[in-house]
Amino acid sequence: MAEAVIGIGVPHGPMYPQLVAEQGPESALGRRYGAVRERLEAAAPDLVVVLTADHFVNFFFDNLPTFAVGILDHAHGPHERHMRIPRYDVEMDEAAGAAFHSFGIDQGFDLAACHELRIDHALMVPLHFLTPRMDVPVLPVYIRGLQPPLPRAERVLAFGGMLRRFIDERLAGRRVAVVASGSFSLEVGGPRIPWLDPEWCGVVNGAMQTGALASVAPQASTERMLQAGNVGGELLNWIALFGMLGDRPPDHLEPDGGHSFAVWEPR
Amino acid sequence: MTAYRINRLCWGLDEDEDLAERLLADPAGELARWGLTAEERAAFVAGDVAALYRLGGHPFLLQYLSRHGLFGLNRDVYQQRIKTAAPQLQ
Repeated sequence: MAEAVIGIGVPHGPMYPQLVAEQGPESALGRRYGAVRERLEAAAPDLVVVLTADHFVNFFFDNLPTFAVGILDHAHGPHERHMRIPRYDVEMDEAAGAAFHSFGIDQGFDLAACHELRIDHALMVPLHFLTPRMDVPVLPVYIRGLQPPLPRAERVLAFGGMLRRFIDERLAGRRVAVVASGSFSLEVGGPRIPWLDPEWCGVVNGAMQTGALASVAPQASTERMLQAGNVGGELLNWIALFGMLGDRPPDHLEPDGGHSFAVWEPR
Repeated sequence: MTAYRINRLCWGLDEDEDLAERLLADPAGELARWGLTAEERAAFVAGDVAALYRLGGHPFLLQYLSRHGLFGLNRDVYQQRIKTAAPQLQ
């Protein structure tokens, strides 16, 4: 068994680092990330698993995995030159990545293996706010969320369950943070900018409040997620987190427009 | 199916630093190298991002055109035009 597992969900707006740099850590956004960071630091993780969707930085349509894991000792980013986000070298846990790859394949989840990665903002923004000293190694896990056809949400929920078994069976003694990166409702570059689907956010936040995390997946068809915005598939990262956690309400939940800040503390 | 090539060109703007310059210097000549249909080439030249979206362009990648100031696009013009397209939910 891992010694402790903390679950976290946060958004990754590429403008957020600059906004908080300008407005300060006491700004509303700064406080939202700060409240999550305090809980993460209290859990003292020695590994951060990030569930994320690649934003065309590593994968293009020519070669686009549904599930992928990083097996490498470090990566640099964010790669997107136009984004005003500090650049970091990030240590990654190569052994944990390799072990997760084998475990996933053995459990019927055919993950692609990435021995080189370029960090994008969806991976970096959560790390920038949550582990700003970049002193905790990272295990990046990619779930296809922006380029339909998307994996079925129930499959992703089961993927999260597989991640839980991996943590329990293969990460003995480790202290693990699992971070889902992304929004529930957001339109980027599409016809409905800026889009917000309060009804759908209410479904997701309501399920979290009652602890019925597994109830989201059966409602999250591709069409329903994309109704909530063209990057609505980022919800799949949260659904994987839900599968990892099992049904229970978060210890901290701050809904904020098309996304939320949430923490499930170790128990 | 050439939607792939629409997206490949847009994605190329972040991968190939010279592509934007080549498109600015000689739009027709550069577009001719990408295996696009006449309709697709015309949509690029007109900066018609709504048409490119209907033809299968991914909005995330179409935005790269405005970021590089190509085909008369900037952020405002891009948003004005993309909003005329019907959202795709598949």
